[in-house]
Amino acid sequence: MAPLSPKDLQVAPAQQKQPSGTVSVEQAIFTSARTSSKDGYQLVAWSPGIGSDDARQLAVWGPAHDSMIVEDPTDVSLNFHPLGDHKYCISRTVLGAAEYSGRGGRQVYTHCFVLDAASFTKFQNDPFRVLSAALAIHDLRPGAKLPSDLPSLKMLPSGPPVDAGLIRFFDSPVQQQSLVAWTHHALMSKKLMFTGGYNDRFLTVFFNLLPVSIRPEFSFSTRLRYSPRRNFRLIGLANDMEEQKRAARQEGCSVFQFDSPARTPEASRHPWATWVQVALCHREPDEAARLIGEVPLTTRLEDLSAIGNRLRVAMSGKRIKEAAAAPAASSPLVVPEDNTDRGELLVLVERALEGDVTALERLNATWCAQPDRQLEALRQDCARHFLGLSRDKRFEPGSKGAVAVEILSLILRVSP
Amino acid sequence: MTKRVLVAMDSYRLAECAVPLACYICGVDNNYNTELCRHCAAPLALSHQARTQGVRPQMVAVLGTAAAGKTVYLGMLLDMLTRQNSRVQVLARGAFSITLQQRTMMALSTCRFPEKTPNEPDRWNWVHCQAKVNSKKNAMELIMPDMAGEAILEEIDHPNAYPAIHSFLEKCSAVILLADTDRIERGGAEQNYFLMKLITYLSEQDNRQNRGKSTRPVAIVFSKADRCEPCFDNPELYAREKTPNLWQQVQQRFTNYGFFASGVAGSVGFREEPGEGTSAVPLRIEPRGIVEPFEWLVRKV
Repeated sequence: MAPLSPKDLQVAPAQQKQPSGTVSVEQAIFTSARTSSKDGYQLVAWSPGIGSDDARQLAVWGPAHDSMIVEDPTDVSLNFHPLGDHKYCISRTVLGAAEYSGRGGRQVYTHCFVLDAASFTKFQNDPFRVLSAALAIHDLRPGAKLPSDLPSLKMLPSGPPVDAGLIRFFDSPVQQQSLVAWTHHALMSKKLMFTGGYNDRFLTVFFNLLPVSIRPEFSFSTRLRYSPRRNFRLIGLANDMEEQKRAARQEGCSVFQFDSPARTPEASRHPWATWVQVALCHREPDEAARLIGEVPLTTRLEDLSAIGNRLRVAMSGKRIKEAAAAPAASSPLVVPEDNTDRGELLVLVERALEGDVTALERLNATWCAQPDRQLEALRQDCARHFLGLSRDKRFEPGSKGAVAVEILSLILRVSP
Repeated sequence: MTKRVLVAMDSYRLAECAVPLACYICGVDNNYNTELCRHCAAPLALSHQARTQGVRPQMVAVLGTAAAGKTVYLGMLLDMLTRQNSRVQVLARGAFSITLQQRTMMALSTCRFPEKTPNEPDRWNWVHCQAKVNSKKNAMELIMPDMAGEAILEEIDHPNAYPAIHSFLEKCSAVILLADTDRIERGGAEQNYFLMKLITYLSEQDNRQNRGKSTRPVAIVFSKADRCEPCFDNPELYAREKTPNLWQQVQQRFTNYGFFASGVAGSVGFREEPGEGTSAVPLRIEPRGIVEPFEWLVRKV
């Protein structure tokens, strides 16, 4: 019999049975204090699952003195970032009591929740769901006395990948336009700073409208001063002009102003942003939620353009079918536009095949409503022209041309 | 007939911007127009300044725990040296070098200590100045950052956590170590341990290059010494009695060292405000022993 090692002689920790469906979430508090080991900003308390590597990373990402833009104890900053390769941290920062050293100012108090990738997937990779669950079971305000240790939390994730209720919430055209423009900029920028009158609801809906597998790519902070040390992708700044100017001077940062969002022409807009517009405007939140929820978990950020186009066409196709099935009396009267002539439509087909999104939009708009004999004849002409053109061209799978062929075949109801 | 003329290509002027600019602290290449180094977040103004000077600036580190008084010491030192001073003259290079002095003096003039230095390197104040000691022929170019105490400790515990501190400590020619006399007097041992860690870290950095004791000049300054008069009388004896481990380590690891005592606030009171907690109030400004450690270091470098 092999001799026992010192490890074998140790008392095994009591096995706690985890309730079914719950997820273990670690927590830590990063703030300024005088402790036995250190003075100043440090992890003052953490749960047993926080390792030394996690603690080091949390100290790097943790906001320290004067990091909150607004010196208001009621202001809350929400942050989300990766922690190493396989973990994520969702944190909530507020101003706490006076700085311990008596030098003025308040301590910046951050409560962090750390979970591994598998657990995060159970929350549909949505940081706001983790925060909601944490707020439901925990008072995240700093207490009179700082804790010295914290337990691991058991949270119960719930809900479908996409919450249709949140889509329904965004019904004002101004909000919708802002969200579409914001989505385009968020997807196109490596680092985006946003300013103006935004609220956390924009971020919540943005995450809700992203495929689950893409969500972890978008680390964010809100109402924290910009620092290159904290490598967030989306950085929410308040209306402090000095801070905005300082941040805008940094290399590789784009700026998005919620108060006057820069509209992007449809032709150059990211296809996923256009899909978001369709999802918000079609007033079928359940259908939009279902379509996004069905996007496979293997989807990467690079695939988002093609998937956005596909979902948009799928949504439009559904509407066409519904319009066709509906009784003629209830359908709106379709009058072909005066300028809809055969020659122009054929040119649009050619442009669409070259990847012109505006041309695709116009073709889609032409046949999206109730069928009409004149339009049907034009559709058949366009379909023949499309078949002729696509026969001569060869596109790489996944290329812009290949996506255009896919969309055109859905619009014109032919397969090349 | 057309005369042959030379027309300058304006676009060629942009070529200058295409040449990368190496950070003076960490040496990483950056875009010419960038404000902060993409690796260590040190201001690239230091590199621009260094390029225009004929002499390479020397670096002096001011180190200490959080709330040891680094900002007040550096700010007061610069304020005193930029005035008429018979022993050492300092001339700031670049407007950014004035900010630390300005912030410290503005705070002290309103009966406040300057706020805590943020942990983020991009928000530290850096000073680039020319220092001239009367007895020396040539003036020296110096770079001195005001770094956060927590960041220094984090770097010592986990090397490379702060690339700016790592590179700076590797390259710095001299070090001022601040020990908080107030906390030593209250019986806390953390100053002793922190400074021992620093001494070990610095000497090991030097030992990588050459065996034996380090020749880098180190000034150990007991800050807030106004709260302990015997410290002013004989700082070395004070170190031997109150921080014996530190004293021993310095003896064993460095050849150029000196013990000093300094104080800025002659008297400190405490103000309790509802909802704001307790804050320290400097009741009068009475700088003592501020210039001496710096002058000693500049002569040794």
